[in-house]
Amino acid sequence: MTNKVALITGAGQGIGEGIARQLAKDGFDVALSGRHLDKVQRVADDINQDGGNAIAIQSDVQYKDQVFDSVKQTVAKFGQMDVFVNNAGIAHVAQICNTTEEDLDKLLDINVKGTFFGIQAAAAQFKKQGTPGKIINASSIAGHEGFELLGDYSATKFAIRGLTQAAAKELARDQITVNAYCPGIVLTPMWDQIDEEMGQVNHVAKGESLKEYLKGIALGRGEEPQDVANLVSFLASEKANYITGQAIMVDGGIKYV
Amino acid sequence: MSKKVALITGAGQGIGEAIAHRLSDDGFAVALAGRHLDKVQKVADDINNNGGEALAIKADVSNRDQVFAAVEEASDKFGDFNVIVNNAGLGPTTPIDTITPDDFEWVYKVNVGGVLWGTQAAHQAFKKFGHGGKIINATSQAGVVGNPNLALYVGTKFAIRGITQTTARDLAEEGITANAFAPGIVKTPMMFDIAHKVGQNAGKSDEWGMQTFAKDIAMKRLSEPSDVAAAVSFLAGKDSNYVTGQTLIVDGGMQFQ
Repeated sequence: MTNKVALITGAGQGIGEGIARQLAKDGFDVALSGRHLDKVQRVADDINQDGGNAIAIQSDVQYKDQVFDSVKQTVAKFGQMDVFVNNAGIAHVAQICNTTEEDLDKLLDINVKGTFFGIQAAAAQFKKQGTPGKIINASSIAGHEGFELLGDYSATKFAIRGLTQAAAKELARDQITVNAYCPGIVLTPMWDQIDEEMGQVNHVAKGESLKEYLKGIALGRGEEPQDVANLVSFLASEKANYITGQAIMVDGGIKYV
Repeated sequence: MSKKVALITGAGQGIGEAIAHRLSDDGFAVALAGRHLDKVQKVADDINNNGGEALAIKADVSNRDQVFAAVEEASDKFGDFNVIVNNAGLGPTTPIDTITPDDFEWVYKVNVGGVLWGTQAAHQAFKKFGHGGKIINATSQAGVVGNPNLALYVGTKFAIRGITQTTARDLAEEGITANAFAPGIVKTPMMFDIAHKVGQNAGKSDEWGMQTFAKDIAMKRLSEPSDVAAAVSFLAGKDSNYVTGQTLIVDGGMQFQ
């Protein structure tokens, strides 16, 4: 039996890297896409050295052609595709009143258009294969509740939830499920950046903003990329076959949905 | 290494039976509680004959003493206690004007009382063994949105979500997570009974009654009990360690959150 195949966008670091490593452990052949080839190549090399099957693909999700091309490369290498993880995303920390049009465009291009193109490219491939497929999108706790200083980011994560629901309804007839994962405060470079910029806006020392957020977590610890990867492992598996259109929280107990 | 231990209430049929089988397949020693010993015994025998480890216990979840006794019997027998699945529940068809005080007391005692007593008994056992654990409660898509003709059932299923969220917050620091699963229209004796009654009330067929609930499922098929059990397998396993206080909808695309 051939392995199932998953493509993960934004797989060069943070949550995407964690997801790529976990899905490889789960037995998937994995295609890792990212804007910086050296970063995804490093993760892919690691996975291959550990006995997995991984390829690295340079792809910027805000460009439709590149997203479709990354699926093409994945199928050329592994013969098929079964799971698409629309993980790539960026954060931007600023008050709404200080957010520039350029900032907003950049966030919408990468987070929303990137996810949109990923859904299109994955669905096209699954339909072409005539096989069931799973599309898994990165929403956030900020996709269930708007966060201060994360106005544009929250908007994109709400948008991804909306896309997830609409795509689930449209694609169910093709045996394609579409779900989202909603991390809380994950200890990744993105939250370091949020902490730093929040510190500047609120005039508090580096680390203090993050500490405040961490205090609110019921399970009493910050989130690791592995915590998110564990949920994605479930969503990518047969266990989630009857789940579609859901944006599932994995935040250690901050927001209850 | 000894097996982890799970107790499932209402395990004699339907979703509870499927959960018992699935958790046994996942490597748990399983205790099956039910009002009718013959029914849970039959399922337990099946599991034992297939190489699993199962114990049948007669218990009515509306009776606090019986729930505590069931958890104690399970942990005495297997030497540990890790997961409780508060699955037992009733789903009578109750158009608003027909509801009597007796109906109210009966349904709330079983559905809500059963979850409360199960949570207390599990907490006591987790403390006794000096480790955390997982509490998994059965809500429903009818615990996310009100369903016609089911005022009593719906009220209890909303209540269970509230109790789940509070349990998650109250017990998190002891390493205990609490989550709920929300099935859709599952092929169970309870659902066939609802379809029959709703059909009768409208002067229509059972099939018509079922379709009033099933017509809006995005995936266009009714749920098998095993679909729900697969999601519970995630909630009972390590992959959900950072998920708490959540309602996991597994309904093939009816409610979206």
